Amino acid sequence: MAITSLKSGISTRSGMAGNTLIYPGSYESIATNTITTPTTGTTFSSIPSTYTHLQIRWIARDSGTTDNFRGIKLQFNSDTGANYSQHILFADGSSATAYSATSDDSAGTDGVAGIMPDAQKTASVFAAGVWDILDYANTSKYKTTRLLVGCDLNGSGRMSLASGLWMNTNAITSITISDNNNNFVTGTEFALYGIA
Amino acid sequence: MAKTYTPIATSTMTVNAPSITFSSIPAGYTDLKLIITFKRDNAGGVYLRFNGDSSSNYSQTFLEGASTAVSVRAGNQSFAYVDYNGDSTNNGMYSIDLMNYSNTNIFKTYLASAGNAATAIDKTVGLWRSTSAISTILVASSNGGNYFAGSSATLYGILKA
Repeated sequence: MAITSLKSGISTRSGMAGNTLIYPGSYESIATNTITTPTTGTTFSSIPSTYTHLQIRWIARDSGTTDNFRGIKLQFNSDTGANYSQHILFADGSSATAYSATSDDSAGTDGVAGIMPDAQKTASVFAAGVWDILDYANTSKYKTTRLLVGCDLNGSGRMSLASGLWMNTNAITSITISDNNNNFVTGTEFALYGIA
Repeated sequence: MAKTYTPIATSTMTVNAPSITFSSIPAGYTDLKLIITFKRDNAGGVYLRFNGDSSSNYSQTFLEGASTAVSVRAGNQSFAYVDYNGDSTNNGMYSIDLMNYSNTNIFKTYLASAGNAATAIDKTVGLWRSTSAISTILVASSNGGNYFAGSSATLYGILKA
């Protein structure tokens, strides 16, 4: 099968549900936080306001030892108030369920929709996720997030599609990502990108 | 800031055929993104195979929505499967993120979004139980069908800062 190079820079849209429209050349790497020592969380700070959207692409695993799935959450600009809400469509290989949370202190997949495998789960498996933070610098509206995340373990697994709201009009300048229960293990990694 | 989301290769079929292969994939990115759109001669999804591995090292968990939302699972498969159906009249569209594809310390997880407006949408998380860096991807038509001429697949590389 012939393969044709696209070095000419053809613009191609990725307009699938759950994916932001992307035009090659308008997507930039901002920073990467790699966990080298188990820790409860990590922060991107001094985020420039020059993009339209942000995206965090990540892999993560939890340090717990109870053979469980654990949640992951976001907080913006160090806001720990009850200013977050979310709706989550959750699947575990047997059923699909939906639930919501209001007046929360974070956006993410805590509670029943925890996704990260803990250290008792199959070795070498990390959950993977793509978090979109839309119109993050627009000071005229609240901020909406979207997350597609999952972890399959060959016989068990979880995934969810989540929509979150931060009820604040401030531009997002920092993002704190936290393990909802324990520590992120070494090798967990969060990469922040800006979309023009 | 460094620009990324780099087109690596694309393949557009000029005749009906059962598969597309991306080979010699460079290891210099963090994630890969594969965009596929096709019509085919029978209903079905997409099989993926990495590095020619046809052993039972693949598994998936699905979240699907048609008239209702359901979730199913498949384990110990000889291919990575992504629903949902493309057919002879409706384009199947697939967006597949292969996360940390060249990280030799972890098994490889992919996230996929797929849809066919006439039938359903699907989200998939899949696992390839191998620590090898992905250097070859076979994109094959499930159920033994052929992709129609004009079907295409494009592979992008995304590099972290």
